[in-house]
Amino acid sequence: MTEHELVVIGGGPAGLAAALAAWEQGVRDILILERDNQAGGILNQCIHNGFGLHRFREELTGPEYAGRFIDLLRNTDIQIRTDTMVLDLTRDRVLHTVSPQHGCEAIQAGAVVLAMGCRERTRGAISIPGARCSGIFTAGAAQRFLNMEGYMVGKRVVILGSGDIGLIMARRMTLEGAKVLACVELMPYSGGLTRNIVQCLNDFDIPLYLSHTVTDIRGKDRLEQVVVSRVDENRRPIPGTEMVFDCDTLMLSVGLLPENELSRQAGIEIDPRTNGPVVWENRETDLPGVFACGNVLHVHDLVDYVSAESEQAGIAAAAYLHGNRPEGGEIRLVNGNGVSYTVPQRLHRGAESLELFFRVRNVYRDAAIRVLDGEAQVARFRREHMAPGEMESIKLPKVLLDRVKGDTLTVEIEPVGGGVLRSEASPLGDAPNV
Amino acid sequence: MDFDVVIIGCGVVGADCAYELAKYDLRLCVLEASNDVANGTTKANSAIVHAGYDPLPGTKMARLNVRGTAMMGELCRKLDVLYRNNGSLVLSLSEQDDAVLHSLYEQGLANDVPGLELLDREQTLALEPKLSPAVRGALFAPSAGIVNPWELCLALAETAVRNGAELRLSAPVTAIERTAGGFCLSTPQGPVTARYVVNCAGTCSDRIAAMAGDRSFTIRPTRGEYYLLDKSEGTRVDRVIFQCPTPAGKGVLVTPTVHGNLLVGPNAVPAGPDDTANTPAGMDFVRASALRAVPGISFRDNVRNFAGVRANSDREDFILEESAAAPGFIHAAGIKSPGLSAAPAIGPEVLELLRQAGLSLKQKETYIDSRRRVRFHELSDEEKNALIREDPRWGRVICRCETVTEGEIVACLHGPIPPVSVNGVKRRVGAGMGRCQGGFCGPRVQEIIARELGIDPTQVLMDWEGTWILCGETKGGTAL
Amino acid sequence: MKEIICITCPKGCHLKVDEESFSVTGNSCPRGAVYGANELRSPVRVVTSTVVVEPVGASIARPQNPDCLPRTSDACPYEGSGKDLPRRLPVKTDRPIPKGKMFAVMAEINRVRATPPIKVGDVLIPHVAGTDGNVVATKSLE
Repeated sequence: MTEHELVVIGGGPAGLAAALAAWEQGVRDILILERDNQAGGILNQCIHNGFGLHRFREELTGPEYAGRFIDLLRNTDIQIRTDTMVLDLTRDRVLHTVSPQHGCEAIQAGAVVLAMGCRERTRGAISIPGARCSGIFTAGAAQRFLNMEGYMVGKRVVILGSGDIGLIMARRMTLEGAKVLACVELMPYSGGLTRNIVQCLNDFDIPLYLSHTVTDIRGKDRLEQVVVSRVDENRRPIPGTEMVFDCDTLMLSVGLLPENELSRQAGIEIDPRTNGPVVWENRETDLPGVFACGNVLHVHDLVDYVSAESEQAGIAAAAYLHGNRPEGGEIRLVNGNGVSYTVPQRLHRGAESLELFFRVRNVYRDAAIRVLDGEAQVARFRREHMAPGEMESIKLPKVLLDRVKGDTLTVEIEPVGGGVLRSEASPLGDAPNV
Repeated sequence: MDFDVVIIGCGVVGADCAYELAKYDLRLCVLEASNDVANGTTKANSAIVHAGYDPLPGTKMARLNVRGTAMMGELCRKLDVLYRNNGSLVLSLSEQDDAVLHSLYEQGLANDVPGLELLDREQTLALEPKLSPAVRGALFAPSAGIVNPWELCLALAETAVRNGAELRLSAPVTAIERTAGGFCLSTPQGPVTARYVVNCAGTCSDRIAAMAGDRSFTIRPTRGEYYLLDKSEGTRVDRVIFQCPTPAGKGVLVTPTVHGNLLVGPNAVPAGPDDTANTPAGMDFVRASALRAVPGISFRDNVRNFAGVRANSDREDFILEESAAAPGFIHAAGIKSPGLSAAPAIGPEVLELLRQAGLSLKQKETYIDSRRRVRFHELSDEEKNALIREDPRWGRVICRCETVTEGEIVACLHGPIPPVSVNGVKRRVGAGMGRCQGGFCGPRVQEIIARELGIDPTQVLMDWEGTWILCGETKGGTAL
Repeated sequence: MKEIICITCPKGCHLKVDEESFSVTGNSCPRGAVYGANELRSPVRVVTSTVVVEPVGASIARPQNPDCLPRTSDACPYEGSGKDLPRRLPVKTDRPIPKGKMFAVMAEINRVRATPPIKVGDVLIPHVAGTDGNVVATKSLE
């Protein structure tokens, strides 16, 4: 068995940032395990621009953003091992790995950062009825074919889901010569950034059908038609509203799921709302010495936030290795009115500060985020606009945290002016037909 | 004559016939319409080995079901097919059900089903604690089990091929002519002549019979829809859980699969012979029915829906006979449920029918009656490392959900019946069967297929003919 | 009057822009007025795509404009060694180009071929489609 101080599982943006942060804190024996044949993770296929505005104050493409971190890594002694799959993680931090170069190998880690990212929800996950023909792709799989392998998956395309990957693919497919007929969204609002609606759909006159879904898939061999229906307020298709599109491709952009099979095997507590581990404010899971960050913890909108969060995890892993472990009792974060989840879910009493990420359930204009210690208000933040598709974050300094007397902190949304624009459930919620 | 015997259709029935016939000194050929074996009913069914209490006593179905189920374990062991003898329960959820259980029990005894037991509520819940609290009792059948149906078919067909049978894929029979002493079958690959023909054409077997001038039966294809749930649901029940049968069929069952998933289904509605679409009504029905027996099933963890078409016919029993209209033409048709369970016994039955029809049979001196396939994730670290040292591709995980390595994929592409599609690889090694459904590994599997078979990636299919995946290259590539 | 959605922040104000005077209503901040006027007067976009990677020996476009020479990053040493060349190289226009020229830019991108070694920022097409933008590599290839 080989030993390393810190092992980072995943060489995408989260893993790279966590490893670099730990290096800067003085950890010198760091190994990154990456299952693909290069570092950078999903950024390698996200060739569009728009990354890095927060982090680098300029607009980068995915490969450029990853390249910045890989360049930094080159100036360190951090080791990265590609083509390496972690098969198992034990509770005493032994990783069982397999790779073509090293075969099966067990690695004892002093600390572990989980940075495995997420995967796409599939046709099966939302149980779309219809034929079992070819021509149905998750947007990410189509993106890999198009941007990395250089192949077109079809010529006439309908996109289900208005998440950012779907919108970005609408533009990419159009620029490469395909006809994108429609983007169909189950919810009454888009799951993607407004900027992408404008620049990926409106620029190319691609219609966006809100409150619609795909109700039938037709085609004996390859996809020939999809049927799109309007849905009612309970997201049930309304008979008689069917539209038929002649197309050869249906692209699914219907949500992402953190990939926590390793975490589950290790018995790490998973939050059913995020599908990621339950973590403390330093991103440590309930298994001491194991930290989590990036999309394996909760699905982010912006890679800039992934990097920021992962640096926290890297710093905390370094502190753990240096013997600085947080003490103090547990304060639990509670999802109040309008909040669908928070990360972290736990806080040590006496913590230095708390940066809290969360998502709201509804679209709000002019609302306030309130943090409550029992009935007492600890902090209040005004927001002009909030939506389920946009992750919110607030920071609480030590001076406020030290005033907390109870065992819980509740985060809730208080509509102020315009109030709740729409009151539908979060798009991260249940599948439509289940 | 090109062949002594031609088998039409390489589903599990055709494959078992080939497996049995390949034991004899015969010129043997299997014609399969699709581009792969196991590509019809065999790949989309409940994957259950039934105990045999359902068929009416005295039928071929009853006899062959019980015999086939008894043969299944040894066959799967010999040919390295995933099989588990986990037993089954038929639940009673009402007073009427109690009576049905009793009659099934009696019927099972008449069919010589081993080990049947009627359980009361407590015994039932002790075996399967996650069943509905409304359960009143159950019929326990210890001989029932679960199997990988397409692997069984593949293993039988591979063994036949390794023992000299010729398999022609993408060879649909389009016409049949009677000739002196046999038949001439037209296929797009040219005519094939044979002294005897075995019709194992599944949902198309009535059309094949009609080509030979036999209109004595009609296939009434019946579609059943399923949910396949994530492995996180795979331990919700340990045995095959049935509800009481109705005239429409055996009803919706809930069962673990040999891969560790949970399978739920089917309904039963009339359909076209290749109509494998899922419908909102069918899916709603399956979900609601299953929840009556096992209330906790989390359908949010669905991985995949599919539908299969069963070759029901206008006759009550299996059609296993020499055609009256065309002597020398043997039917193994109308093989509805429990056809998979009966399959190991159908080959020997067909052999006997051929013998009676005048085929002289001489056993081969050597017959390879075994098959091994490497399942990487089941090996010990030492065994894995030995493989990786020999070829590093054994260490490269392609399908992360099911831990399938490049070595396994390459091996299957050079096996006795190489796949030509992404799903063909999936059926052989499991790549893409997991929770991401090939989202990550699909493009890589496609690349490996193209490389190993020496074809362009755009020629790699998802499954059967016509299921293209890529329409061409970007930047002025071939097809755009 | 043309109605457009403002993208300067997530609020997504619906702006009304006068086609002659470029005056903007419906904005809730000054940035919206600027965006609305520009978007109507001269909308611009960054185009991202890929170019075909060809093995050594084929024609290669090297940097022609010294201002656009490669930046710091060298080819990534962590690329899987021994792996075949990737089939496509990601590229972008190094500044926004007029929206109406997106497909003209694509036509030029589709014709060009790239041969390693290539560094991030290498110019593959200077002044693409007659604009002042260059098509540059967004990834290094050894």
